[in-house]
Amino acid sequence: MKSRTIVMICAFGVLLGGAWMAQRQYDRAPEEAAGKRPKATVEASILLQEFMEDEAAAGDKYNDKVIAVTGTVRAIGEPKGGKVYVLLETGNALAAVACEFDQAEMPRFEKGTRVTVQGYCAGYNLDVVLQRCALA
Amino acid sequence: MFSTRCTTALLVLMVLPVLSYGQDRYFTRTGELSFGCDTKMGDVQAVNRMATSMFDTSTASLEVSMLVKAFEFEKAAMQHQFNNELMESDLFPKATFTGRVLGLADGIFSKPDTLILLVAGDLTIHGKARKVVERSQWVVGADGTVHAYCRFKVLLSDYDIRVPTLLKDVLSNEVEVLLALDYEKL
Repeated sequence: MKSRTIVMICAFGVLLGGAWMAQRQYDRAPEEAAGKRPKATVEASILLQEFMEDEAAAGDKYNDKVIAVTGTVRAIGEPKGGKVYVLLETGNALAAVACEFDQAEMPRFEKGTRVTVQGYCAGYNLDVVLQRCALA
Repeated sequence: MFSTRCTTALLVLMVLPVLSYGQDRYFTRTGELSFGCDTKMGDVQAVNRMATSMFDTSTASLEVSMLVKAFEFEKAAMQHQFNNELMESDLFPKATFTGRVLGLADGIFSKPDTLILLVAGDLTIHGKARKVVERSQWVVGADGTVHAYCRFKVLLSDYDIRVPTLLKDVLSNEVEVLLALDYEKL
């Protein structure tokens, strides 16, 4: 009788622990790119060119992955909703690589400097968009 | 896929001429689109702050384009479900609007003002385009900036967005969307 009670208490504990872990997993915030090993390292101009030439193929290669992109800072946007974007030069007058940072964790950037940024690639929409970025 | 490429190409074609002489065109690459819906598990909110948009006052044409994957949720699991089970964002990477602002009079954006105008055009979500007409608010600032706001409702069923069986009881078919575009004059 006593051993049956112990087994029931253990089973209840395992169930409770499993539910807690499942809830914790569900509540997890989207991951930041900081500290992640990039799946690819590429120049901003090459990245844009790949998307412009074949958006579907480049999307398969880069979307949802952490990639490191090197380029010269073209512009730094105004903070908006806790986010700030940095545009990396691509040699194209219009399109850039747009890197979105959390304002609170935004590194210091200066226009004209060459940097390597890593972030999650969301695709190509005039700019190639990287999110949840960090300096590589 | 073809229509999203067309929209990107249209945006490029609209922007290119103004690099040299455009005076009536407004552009943003940080348009914000947020939505929320009530679920039995609580409110779900998401925001996309990287929408591109071009507005040409001389032709009243308005283009908005955004990456579905650029929507950010509070929880990674929600973002995953949204992209993979609802929006199928690998198949349909963009949501777009191509249309016109109705009732524009000459010089209407030349002085600070707040205007309520109708916007009509094709809203394409999940690869399906539908004609829409919505009310929008336009605020012209003293510094020449233009801010546009539009609140509208989207029915998931209108865009062939199939809610997975597991979520049918917890997710509403109606989603309220808020679009905010802070334009700069080109």
